[in-house]
Amino acid sequence: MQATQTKLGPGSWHAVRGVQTLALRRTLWLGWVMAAAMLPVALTSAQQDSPQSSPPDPLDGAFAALATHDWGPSLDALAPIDVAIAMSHGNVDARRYLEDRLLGVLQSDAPRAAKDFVCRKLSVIGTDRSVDALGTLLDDPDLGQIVRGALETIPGERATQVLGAALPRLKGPARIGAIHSLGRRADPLAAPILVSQLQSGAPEVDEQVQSAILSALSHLDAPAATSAVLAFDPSGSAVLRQGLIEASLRIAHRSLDQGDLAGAADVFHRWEGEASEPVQCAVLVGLIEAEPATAAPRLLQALAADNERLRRFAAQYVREHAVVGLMQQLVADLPQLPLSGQIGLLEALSDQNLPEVRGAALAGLQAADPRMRATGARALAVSGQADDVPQLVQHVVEDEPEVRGAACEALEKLPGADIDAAIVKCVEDGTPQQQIALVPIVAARQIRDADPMLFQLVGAADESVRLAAYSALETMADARFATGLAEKLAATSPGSEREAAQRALWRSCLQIEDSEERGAPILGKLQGATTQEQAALLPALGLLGGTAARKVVDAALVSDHELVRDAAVRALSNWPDASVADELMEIARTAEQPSHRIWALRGFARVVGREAKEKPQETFLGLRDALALATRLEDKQLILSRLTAVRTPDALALALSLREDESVQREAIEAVASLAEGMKDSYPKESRAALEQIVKLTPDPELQLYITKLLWNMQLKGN
Amino acid sequence: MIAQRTIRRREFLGAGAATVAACCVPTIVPATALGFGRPAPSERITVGFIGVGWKGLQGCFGSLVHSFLANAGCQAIAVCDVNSKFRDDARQTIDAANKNQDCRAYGDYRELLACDDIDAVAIATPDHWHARITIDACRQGKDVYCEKPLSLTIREARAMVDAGRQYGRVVQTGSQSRSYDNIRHACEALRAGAIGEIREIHVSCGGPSVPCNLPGEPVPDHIDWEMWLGPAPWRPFHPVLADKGFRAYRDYSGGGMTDWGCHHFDLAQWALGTDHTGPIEIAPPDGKDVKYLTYRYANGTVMTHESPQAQQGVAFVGSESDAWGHGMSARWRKGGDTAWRLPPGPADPIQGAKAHSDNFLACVRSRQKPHADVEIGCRTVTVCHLGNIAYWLNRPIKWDPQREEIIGDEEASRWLDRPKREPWNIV
Repeated sequence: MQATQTKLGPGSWHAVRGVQTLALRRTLWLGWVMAAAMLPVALTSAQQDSPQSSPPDPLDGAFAALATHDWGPSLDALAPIDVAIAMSHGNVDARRYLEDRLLGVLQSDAPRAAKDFVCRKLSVIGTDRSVDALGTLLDDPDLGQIVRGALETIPGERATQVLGAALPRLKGPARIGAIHSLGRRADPLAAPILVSQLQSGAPEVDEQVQSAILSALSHLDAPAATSAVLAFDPSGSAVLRQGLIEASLRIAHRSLDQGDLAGAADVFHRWEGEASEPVQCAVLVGLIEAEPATAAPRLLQALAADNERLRRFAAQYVREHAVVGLMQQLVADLPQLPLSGQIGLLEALSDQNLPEVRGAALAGLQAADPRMRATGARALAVSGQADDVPQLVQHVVEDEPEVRGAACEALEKLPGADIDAAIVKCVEDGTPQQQIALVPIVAARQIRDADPMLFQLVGAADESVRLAAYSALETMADARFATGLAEKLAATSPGSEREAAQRALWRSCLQIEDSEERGAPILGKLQGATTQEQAALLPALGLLGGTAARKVVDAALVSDHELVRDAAVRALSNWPDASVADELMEIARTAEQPSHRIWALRGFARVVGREAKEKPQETFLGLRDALALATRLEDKQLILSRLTAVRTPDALALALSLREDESVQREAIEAVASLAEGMKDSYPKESRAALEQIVKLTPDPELQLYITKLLWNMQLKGN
Repeated sequence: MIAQRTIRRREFLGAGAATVAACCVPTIVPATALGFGRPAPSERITVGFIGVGWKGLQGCFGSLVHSFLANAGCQAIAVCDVNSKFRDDARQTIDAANKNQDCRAYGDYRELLACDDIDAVAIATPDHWHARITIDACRQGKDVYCEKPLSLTIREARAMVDAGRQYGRVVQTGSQSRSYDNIRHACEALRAGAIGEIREIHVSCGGPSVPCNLPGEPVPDHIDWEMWLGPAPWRPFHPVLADKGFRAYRDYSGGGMTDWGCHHFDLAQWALGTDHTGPIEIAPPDGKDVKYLTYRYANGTVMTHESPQAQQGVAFVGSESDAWGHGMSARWRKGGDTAWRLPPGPADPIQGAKAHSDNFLACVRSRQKPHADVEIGCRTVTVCHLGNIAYWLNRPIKWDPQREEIIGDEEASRWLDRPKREPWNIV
């Protein structure tokens, strides 16, 4: 018989790349070449049985090395055997040749490591030819386990027979191992020997052995095995009881797989009263599958259980598996459940848009228990309708924070224009407390038609309502409201309401398409404005910037009125671009009033930071000067945070220089980490050096972890 | 001969849209699930840690013990390790955090699992122990956080899923990327077509594990070597194995393919929307037509495994743009661009391991599926193991992701599991 030569190529090389040493690769490569060239010849000569005339076997060297192989030396010398095994796939003769040579080593006085190597190979290529030789070594104290491993994987009846026949003579763990192997082989032929062992009553068949036999039998699809397991009496032994449960559940699942629902149900019923919660879970699901008609009562029973985990398991089962009919049955019986079960079930159904769920949710909303009310509100977020909005609104002002949150969330999430309209009506008709809660929901839903109503609310008597309305208008007001908001702002007193009105007006003006015209509503109102009105309007004007605004602000900077000058410095500090940087720095250096210096310094840091990308060196120098001027901690922190946008070695060095300054250490370390991350590709060496200097400095474990990850990422990427 | 796995009826049942959605779309559990402030001790989830060495305590970008300790709703009460030094360090760390001396320490995980007062366990042992401990924990009613890679073999991973499902346990795979907002955002965007149709995926990580031939050394007094080996074949002690070096060797791990591979292949599975399935063909490089180990999915998507060059990670080639991901980062490159940019959405995370353990603890309370549910971990590690098998055999294999069987290659099927050293068994 001519041996087929397996394909050979550099691809074989790739199979081991990345994991072998260079020497091993070289040896493997050599092995490939030799084996490919010589194996067929060797096989032929082996068949001709004329060793004296045959050329040298290319594997002789490897097998000679194997004969004395031990743990420690390199495996390189054995590599040709691996190569030959890989190449000979599908070649019966070549495999027989290799198997015989391996068996020769197994039956020799080679060291344990050599025979270990042989058994591993036989576990992959072994056939009936190897079984008897392996079987004789099953009770070898050193080799028994690795021999059994080979027998476990070799296909065919012979290996089952040898393992089974060895059972009586094997002791302790070796016997248990052989039993497990018979189970893992799942060969029904093993059933008689295992059953006879289980029923023998012999003293050596102790609890551990019996438990192993139960497990093994449960893997055999044989009536005798199944009967023996199901008839077994654990006689009060906890170990055996657990083993029996495990084995019988496996049998029950196999019955389900084979369509024997009644047989499966019988087994599951046996363990129905088991106290163990995980077994209860297994039995619950098993019985639902075996007896689908009983799903609803079983789930309801589990949902009413004292054990919280079982209740939650049942709820999760409903969430993942329930179909509409089953859900309807469960909801119908929901009132019969104890409160915890009701909550669990309603939670499980809360993402179902079903009329039954809506009904249960509305009922839940009326419950005395706040957890139930919150659950009801959450369920309405999916199944609710416009008619339900007033009921939810009742709960956005209740005392229980969980219910309030759930009601608000439901009102935010419920989709539809009819829901929008219902919410707006509730705002219009609601109490101030309801308005305060609902206005942010209007903003979150971005109900476009609601802005006139919001504009009306900025004139409400209740200050909190006005603040909520301004806050909503920040995200909703369009340009139409700019002039009106300027009027409102001019009339405010200093404080949070004025600041909210400034933000709303600014955002409204930003909606004006022509950027040059964005300041017009404020500039118009400033004409003839009183000192108080100017003080209110100028900071908002500063937020918008622009040439016309700059002239007005510059004039205000030299006003006779201190209030106006204050407002002008604020306006300049609010400027949206760096065109005012020099003026701000000048004020920061020279202003008489400390507040002006502080506002200007902070404004300067903010505006120059915006040009960090385009003008990194100028920005760095400006921030360095600002840092020198800063006296307050919060100002230094702000400047450091702005410095993180300047990705230059100078900025990194400046931040690094502050790492030992206790007052700003954390900010300095964060700045270094942020800069190093941003610069890791452009300045890898500097970034890495900086990170290495700060990694041990911070006491904050989260920050330390972050820095460690940065370093590690850089290492991975070769930086 | 390995038992053939039949498709179970409940897997068909579970293949409905709801279950697929549950697998593929992570459940976002509100932070409020754990309540405000620290719950009373009786309300806290009690956790035991099994394996408190390198990943468990010392911390590889986030120690597991510390990430759990940082959660106010968690009470760490026990540790277990076969290395008494690791064990003592962990116990002291936990006692210091709890301000008492109550943390219990065990050398045998079975003693820890027998404690009725432990709700959940976090497993950070070497890979060859993951399946056995996870399955035992599920049987004992414990919820499980198990480090990645989920298992040593494909059959083990499926047995872990079955145990978790059968006993109704929450089982989280320790693939932390699944709890990072930026990675989730990026993967969901990829699934939604952010770079167009995904045509190629290039995964870059280490290669397969190799046979171990480290020399034998005397076993130190502080290590229970028999217990360290557990279900793995016997071999003499070597200190490299008892530390993190075990990952290079086949008896204990799948090598780089399952180490970082479990992150990068996981991102690929997530982005492809194949968390409930897998590839259908795996071909090793042949030096001619197949340059790299190549996976092919049923929809035609091709994924290659390439040894790390400049950087590890996973690159997606789309019909319109490219994307690149790593365990913690995601980048976009629109058509024609050369530079990688941050995609829209959340920035790179700094949560470390905590976000993932927080998600696990929240699910322990709610009983919902965690972000890296065991099924997800099973499918991802299966991709890694299939790659290893193809490398080891040096021939293409065909895979039936529905039945989870290698098609038409009995010999390759022998690699779906490994014999266990007595008295250990997995299924």
